[in-house]
Amino acid sequence: MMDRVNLFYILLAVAFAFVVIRKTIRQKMMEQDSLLWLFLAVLMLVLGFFPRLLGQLATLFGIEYPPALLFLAATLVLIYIALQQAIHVSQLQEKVRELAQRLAILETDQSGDKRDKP
Amino acid sequence: MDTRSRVLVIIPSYNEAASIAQVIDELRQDFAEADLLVVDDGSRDETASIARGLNVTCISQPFNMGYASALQTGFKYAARHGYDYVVQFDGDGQHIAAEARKLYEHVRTTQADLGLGSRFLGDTGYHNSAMRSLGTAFFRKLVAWFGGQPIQDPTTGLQCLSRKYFVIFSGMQGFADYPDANLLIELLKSGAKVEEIPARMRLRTTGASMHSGILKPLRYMILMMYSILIVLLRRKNRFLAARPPAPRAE
Repeated sequence: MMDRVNLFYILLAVAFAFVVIRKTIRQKMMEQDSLLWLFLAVLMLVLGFFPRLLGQLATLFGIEYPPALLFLAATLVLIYIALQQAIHVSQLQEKVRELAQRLAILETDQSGDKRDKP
Repeated sequence: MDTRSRVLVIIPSYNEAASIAQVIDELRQDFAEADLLVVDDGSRDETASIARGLNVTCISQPFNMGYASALQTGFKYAARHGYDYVVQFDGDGQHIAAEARKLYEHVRTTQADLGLGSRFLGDTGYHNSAMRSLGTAFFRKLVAWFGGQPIQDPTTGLQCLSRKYFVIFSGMQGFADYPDANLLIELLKSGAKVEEIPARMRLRTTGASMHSGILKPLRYMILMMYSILIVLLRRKNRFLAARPPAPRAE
């Protein structure tokens, strides 16, 4: 039942997981974020080992062409991750602004530049 | 400057206006030789102004960054100001100042690197919910297994650190995310001397626990297991590979 394409899936998933874990070990990535990507690798692995799952799920959702479900799922996951990243970037921007303002005020206070004060 | 060892009590606080004054009073009374530092983690209440009103050094973080981040800010301060030991102490009134002092004395006399005030050694009168007991038991096993030393209370908040280790913590990447069983295991594997002594604690009177709900603890557990795995896979121990301590600036 194991097709070449399934083997390909499995290899891809393992390679992907390997890269993610290695990045985490080298502290390029935080554990929390890394776990999200690892979850994606696990999904790929499941599909690789149980290829018929895709067909069954497609039937369940009324999708006639099973690979279309794969594309849909992949798109949804990527959209979700992109959304997470966008939220993260917004929060970081907000914090950087706050820090820059505080630093600027602090530097002005420290430089003794108080010309307007009586 | 005198030659006695200097100890800083770091009190990470987030919205602890209801309890912070009492915590400070108690520490001043029962742990008089310690300097105090409140790290206000972006509180929305009067925590910082109460602490400053009592003449305690208070660092206000510009926004809420989490307990561990506040702690690390304290470590950085202690590293810069040349302290020999730090004691981490909760701002919610759970910890008892006399017990913190006992822990510090113990760490100093035994020349340990890390002292843990344990809720589960001896009769400390501490009772945990079933769910949390399960989690604690689980991490206890993991720490004993991979760290090679049985620790009864690996997640206690009452800890005392020697300079060597808090300086490393102060510059550690990723410390602010999940410093728990994973770091304890890495620390034990580096050959640090860890001492655990019983510490009585009070039941918390105000605020809510960091770990409540059902999904959150589960997520935390998975993350912690993964973090431990990463520590085990990492070839170099970050406590051994660390840079020499930063020079003391007075």
